[in-house]
Amino acid sequence: MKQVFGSNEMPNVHPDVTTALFDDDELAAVVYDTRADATHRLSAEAVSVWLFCDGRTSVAAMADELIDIFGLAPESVAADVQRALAQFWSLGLLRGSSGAEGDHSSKEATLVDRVLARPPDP
Amino acid sequence: MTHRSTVGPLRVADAWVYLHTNDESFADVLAWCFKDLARADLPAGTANTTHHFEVDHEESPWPHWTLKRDGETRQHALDEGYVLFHVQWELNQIVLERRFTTIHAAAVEVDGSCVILCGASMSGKTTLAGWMAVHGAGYVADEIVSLTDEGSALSYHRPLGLRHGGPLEPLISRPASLDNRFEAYEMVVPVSSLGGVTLTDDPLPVSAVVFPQYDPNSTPDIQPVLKSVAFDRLCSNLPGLARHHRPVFLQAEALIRRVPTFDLRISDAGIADEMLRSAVGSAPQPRGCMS
Repeated sequence: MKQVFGSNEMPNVHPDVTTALFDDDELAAVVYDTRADATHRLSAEAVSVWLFCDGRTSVAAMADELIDIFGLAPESVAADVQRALAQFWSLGLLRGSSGAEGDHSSKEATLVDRVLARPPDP
Repeated sequence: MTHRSTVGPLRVADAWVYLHTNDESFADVLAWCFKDLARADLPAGTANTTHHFEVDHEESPWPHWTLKRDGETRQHALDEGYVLFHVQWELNQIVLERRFTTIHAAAVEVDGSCVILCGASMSGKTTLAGWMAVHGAGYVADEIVSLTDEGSALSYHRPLGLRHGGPLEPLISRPASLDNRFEAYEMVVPVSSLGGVTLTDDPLPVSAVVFPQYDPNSTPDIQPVLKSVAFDRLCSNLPGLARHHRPVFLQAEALIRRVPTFDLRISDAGIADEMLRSAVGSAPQPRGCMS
């Protein structure tokens, strides 16, 4: 697991990840990773970092932007950004991360079995 | 030569299905359980494929049942208490294969629109759908709700799988002559046997997505649920997501964005019915009083 991102790194969302952003009643997102066939709901704090994962914004610039936008304390923002990025990385949501490669056939079978779960065979 | 009985054709998604068996009493059970899928007045439509299931009772080397789909063995040693359950499961597979965006949910028609009841097994969605159908809502589907490309909900009139002791059990009109060996796991009940039920055939626009949660000790309640939370839950109930990926994700996202979403805590089907209709804007009707 990647623990620390360099201040000049420019994290980018993995191309196999699709984002559904919700910003009406709340700021949140649901992201779908095709490779792992997994969805994840991101909190407002995570989304605020996620939206800067565009491959053009450095980690240092992310922190600066969040300080400017939300008026947050600089000393805590850097740690929050690192924590969020580490989470994205561990989930395989960023380009370069290995991701949780899914076995689609077994995942599909699991889901399909849930649609009227099979009883144990005698 | 062993006599074989055939039940069908059943309309399952856009397929015709025939059920063949060497057990006459089982054929009677099949014909009753799946009669809502075999109605003569179904919209004409076009069936694009046909499937044949052979569900046979074997005595040797021990009493058991076998199930084949189009000649391929799917189950080779079923207990008779589970064979009907497996037939249902196989029909569900056909829907999942034939439809694109499918939701693990029940659905009813309220005021010309579809209310989707989405949840895991034992969440109460089937009982609530059956209850609402008996009280004036149209029955759209159980277990699988499919969406058209335009986002309308498609009917699937499979029988309800009901546990004994629920509020719908007294309403079931089941021929006394039917063999009851095949319902060890749950009662398999065509919705039309509950009496006074309207089966909705046409695609319906969706008016709400509801997440029921049955808890007999809870206080009944309905509350709006955040869209992101609703969408996350919906994604975990999309069998088509693993097969078709991003297009299904996007269609489900579009659905969640355009309709209200609710959490519904159920301890009593009647109260839940009233609460749900109030939230989506329709009053329940006394049993037998159809709109």
